[in-house]
Amino acid sequence: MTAQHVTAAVFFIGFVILTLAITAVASRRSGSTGAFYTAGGRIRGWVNGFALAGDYLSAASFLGAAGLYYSFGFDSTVYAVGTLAGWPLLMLLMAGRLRALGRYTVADVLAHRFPDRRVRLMTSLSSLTVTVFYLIVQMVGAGKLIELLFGLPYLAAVLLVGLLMVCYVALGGMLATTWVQLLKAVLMLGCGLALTASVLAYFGSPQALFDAAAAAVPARAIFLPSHALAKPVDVLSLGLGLTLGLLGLPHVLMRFFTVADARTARASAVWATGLVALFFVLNIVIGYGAIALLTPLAPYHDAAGKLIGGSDMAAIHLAHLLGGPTLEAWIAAVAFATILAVVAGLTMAGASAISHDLYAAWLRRGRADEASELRVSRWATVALGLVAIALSTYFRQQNIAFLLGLAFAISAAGNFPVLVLALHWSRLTARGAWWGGLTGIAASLCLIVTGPAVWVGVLGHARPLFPYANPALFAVPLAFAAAWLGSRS
Amino acid sequence: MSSKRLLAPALVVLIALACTAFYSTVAFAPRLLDGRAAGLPLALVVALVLFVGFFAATVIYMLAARDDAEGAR
Repeated sequence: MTAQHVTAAVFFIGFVILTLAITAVASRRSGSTGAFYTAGGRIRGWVNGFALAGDYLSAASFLGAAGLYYSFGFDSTVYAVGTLAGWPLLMLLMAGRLRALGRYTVADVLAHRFPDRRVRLMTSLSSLTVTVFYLIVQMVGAGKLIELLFGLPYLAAVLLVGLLMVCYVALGGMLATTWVQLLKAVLMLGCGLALTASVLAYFGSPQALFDAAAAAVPARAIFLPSHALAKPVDVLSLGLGLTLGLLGLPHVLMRFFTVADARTARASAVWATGLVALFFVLNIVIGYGAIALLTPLAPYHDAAGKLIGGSDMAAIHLAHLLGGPTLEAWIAAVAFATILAVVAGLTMAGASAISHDLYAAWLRRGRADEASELRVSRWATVALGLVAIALSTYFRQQNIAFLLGLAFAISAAGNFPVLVLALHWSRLTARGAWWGGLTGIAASLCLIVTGPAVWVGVLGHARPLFPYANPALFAVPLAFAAAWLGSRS
Repeated sequence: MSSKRLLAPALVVLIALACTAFYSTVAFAPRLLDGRAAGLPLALVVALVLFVGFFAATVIYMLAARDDAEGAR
């Protein structure tokens, strides 16, 4: 282990100790189901805003976005616009109403209107699918990061993350998850600001930075969409999935149940939108800084000319170049913290879907006692960890920002249509909700499996059955149509 | 319907239009994003304007709904 590895390890271990201490404190206050799932609904607006931003700013938002800038330039901004657009829509269409209706989980919102058990089953399975896919994205990012920094095998890295996430969620519940998210969001914004300041100090002005980036890769138009966004249908599908995907993410929606009222829910959405927007602006500077500074430097590339550790490691290499091993270790530790925190939030949502929706409400028909529900939640956390670890080994070669786009597409088609109709359309029936959710999740999964990412990238076939990488443009209208048809019959 | 009650649908439509315009440009006429504005790449300036616009929408709605008795529940 080199001195650089030791520095990184010190930061890593420091963060882990701090967050485990937070978890230990929170565990004493998470004895009831209300405290465990939603922190008793007493989180303040600004704290929830930071936690929302923390839940949202994942490995994909930091490592993946910088990597996408490095490989494809402006494409990363295209991703950012869609994902940020989801925030005001979330506030306008859902935040207040969710708080007014919800209890612990997204399925509770639908159950409030439709006591039908099938609807709860469908919503729980849909939430679980989105959560597991999103977990895979985070695990792949964690695996790559630790592999690069410590030379640990990929599997050992994802096992370590899995173990820590089980500790955070099983012991500390939503309160620990919220505090870890708050800490992580502050650290991540601090890192982003430090890296951005370093890049701008190096170049003197944004104009000089963008000129240097363009000069570093004269053969590429880095301020225009790349060849990866050459198919118009794929671009529109990506935009739709990114914009609407946020509105169906269970771990984000759950956060609106942790505040006291609709007004606080809206305030937290404003905080989150501002923080996420700020981070996306910082990403532009970091991404183009990576193009300008790393491209000409051979030590950061392997024999094939690829960035060492893959393009997702662009921000880490940039930190090394501008601030030496200490800044690199600090940024890497924060990126790791980011992954841990998001994984904890996701696991919290997944475990709630299993214990509260599937076990207590569906299987036991609301007759489960608090102790057994909490016990199931903790075992569900372990099971989710194992599933995410296993699946992340299959997707390790994919860009994490791209994988995130797929997770958003599943969320946009599986959860969003039914939720928004349940909140705003009085003629939606239980049958419509069932068919809408089922169609959305089945269509998005089928189109992803038969599309280029899985059919070619994972299963190794020569050509995909479905030609587009992003399924939202097809799956979302199908889900709405099924909900409408189901409600008419 | 009061102007406050129309605000949310109006903002949703505006955001939907902005996103449709942006993604349609990227999909069908990416060259329109070529060039410079205020010394910066035009494509990035457009994105920054959208970022500010999205944030502004949340602030406007929060302020408008603050005194709304229904919105407080």
